[in-house]
Amino acid sequence: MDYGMALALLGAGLAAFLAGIGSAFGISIAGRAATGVLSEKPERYGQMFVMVVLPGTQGFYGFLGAFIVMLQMNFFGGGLAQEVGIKLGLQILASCLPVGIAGLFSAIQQGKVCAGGILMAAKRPEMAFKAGVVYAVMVEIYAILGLLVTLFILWFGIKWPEFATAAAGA
Amino acid sequence: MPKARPEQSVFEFLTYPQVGGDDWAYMSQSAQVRTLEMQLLSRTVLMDMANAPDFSAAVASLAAGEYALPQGSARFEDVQTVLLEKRANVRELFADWMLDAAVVALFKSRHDFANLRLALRRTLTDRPFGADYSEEGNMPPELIEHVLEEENYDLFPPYMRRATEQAVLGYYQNKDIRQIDYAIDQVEADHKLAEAARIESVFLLNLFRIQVDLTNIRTMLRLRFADAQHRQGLLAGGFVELERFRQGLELGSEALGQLFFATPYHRIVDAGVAYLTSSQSFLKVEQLCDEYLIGFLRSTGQVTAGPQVIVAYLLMKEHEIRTVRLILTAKKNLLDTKLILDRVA
Amino acid sequence: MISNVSATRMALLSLRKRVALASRGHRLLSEKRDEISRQLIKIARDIQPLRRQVESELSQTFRRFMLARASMEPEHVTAALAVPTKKFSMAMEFASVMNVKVPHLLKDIEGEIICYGYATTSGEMDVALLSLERAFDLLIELAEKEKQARLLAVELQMTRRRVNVLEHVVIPEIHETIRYIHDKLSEAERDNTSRLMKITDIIRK
Repeated sequence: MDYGMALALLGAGLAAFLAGIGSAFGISIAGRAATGVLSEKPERYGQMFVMVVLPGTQGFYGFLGAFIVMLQMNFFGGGLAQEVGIKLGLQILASCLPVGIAGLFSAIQQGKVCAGGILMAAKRPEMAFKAGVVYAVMVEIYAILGLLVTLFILWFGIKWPEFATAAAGA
Repeated sequence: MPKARPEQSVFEFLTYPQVGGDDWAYMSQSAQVRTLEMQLLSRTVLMDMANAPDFSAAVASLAAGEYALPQGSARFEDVQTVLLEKRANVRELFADWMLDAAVVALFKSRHDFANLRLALRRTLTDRPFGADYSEEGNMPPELIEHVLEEENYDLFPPYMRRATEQAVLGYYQNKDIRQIDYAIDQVEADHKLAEAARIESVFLLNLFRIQVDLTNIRTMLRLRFADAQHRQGLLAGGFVELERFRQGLELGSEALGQLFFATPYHRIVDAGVAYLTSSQSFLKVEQLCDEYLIGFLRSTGQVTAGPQVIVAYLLMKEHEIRTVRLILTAKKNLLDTKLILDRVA
Repeated sequence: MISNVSATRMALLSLRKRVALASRGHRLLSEKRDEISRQLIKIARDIQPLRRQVESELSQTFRRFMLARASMEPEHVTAALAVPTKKFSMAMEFASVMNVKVPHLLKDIEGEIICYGYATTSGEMDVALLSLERAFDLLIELAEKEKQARLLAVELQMTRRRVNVLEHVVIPEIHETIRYIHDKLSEAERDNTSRLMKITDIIRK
């Protein structure tokens, strides 16, 4: 019995899934804040938009992590699934966790920061970018770090078998 | 989403009792409130009104905002109508925003208690039930009338039943009508505190305890002022123990500041007593009490989203409406500007 | 008066009595007039400060009450003042000053004026009601004094008119009549004397 492939897929799934959940929560919080403000001040739509969208990036990072896993396994070039051993599978799973977990928590927290930023932008529009967006981006950094760790492990930490060499440059 | 739980931040520790944590379910409502908060009258506008040379000038300074009178009229009745309308509006908004029906019912029970007070006073002294009741309570006034006629208090919700029983009991002890009020006030305070504890809202619990404290401070000073023999009317359940207030009733006025030195209300008592002695008036005490409460309500600014924000807005808006009414009444009756500033500033 | 008086010695005597009576009455009435005006001045002097005090207390009450009402919710104002506890009844009795009946007010006040609990009411309401309570006593005193002053003033006017009538009409008229009768009688006397002298002359001849 060889669970290697299953573990690798689980890793790719978790990366997309956890980060996606985080983004969904984050956007929902920021979005609700924005609708509340917009119901009274519709002219602030432009400023709000950036801050509502920001927590969504984590979902993309998760997706990117999962995509790279698939590329490395030469998924789209008819890669040989049988060749994924249990050791490799565990390595792939481990490499996916940083972006998934960092994405999950940072997206929710970033949603809260963005909500705060939106409330502040409603009162002091001139501070919207200076504080609201910048602070949200500070949370973003940790999601990016998670993504970087994932990418480094995928690219340099894992010794890929033959089938992956074609995609290694991606 | 997590329930509001006690999260004591550094700011809370330094200034007011804690206001509790965020509840993200209230995000949209909180955002709406924060936007509306900007439309609250600023201090400058209120000062302008207070310093206006006469009534029509004071009304004119409101013309740009939401309190503008229809077609620039300057009759006092119009002012009253507009203010009552605004008050009804904000209460309606509050009921819309509040996801927790228990909190809405809790704030509506204020009107139940007010109705009950009036109804019991009239019924127990064999007067007709009459009009002038508020329609904003949980119980329509007709129903209150019906229950009191039948004397079947089981039809009341528990808090009103308890209030009625206590009030009737108190009244028949020596047929003193004030006992009705004392009993109802105490039951009202107990009910609010119990409900706040039941829905596990740290903010509401602290809010009501502060309200009890502030009421007690005013009551203590008023009892001293009236020089009445009886020592009733203090409410239990606040942060400051009743014993301290009782002690305050017996002490000389210069010792009061010392007595309350360890409490957060030190400044209120000190400045309030000084003003009371110099100008025989409670204006300053009431102003300081309002200010303290508003300060606590403003400390909900630390909360990004949550029921606290909405409750604070309701109370601040009600306070603003009262202030506008106060200033306009004073202007209409040509009262001294200094008096207004003492009460408002 | 002169025309319809019979110039007899009887009439003269009764007129002399009347003039004595009238001047005694005049003296008494003018004394009464002086006394009433003295009393009136005294009361008026009391009224001035009392009135000022009542006015200031009442305006104070009004001011406080306005503030109290404005700073409370309208429903709470109605509830607090719906059933008052202060009972107030008044009776009147009459005293006599210089034979003028002046009212004296008796009041019967019981119960405390503060008839509400403290949680929903403003302290200014207490101040207003307590100062109203103080103003009540003064108000009653003022009403009493003002009525007294008014009654005394009416009486004073009447007395002064009587004094004037006696002084400028009645007494001079009687004096005139007396002089007239006196003249008439003297005339009759001289007439008689001359007639007697004439008769004596005729008899001597």
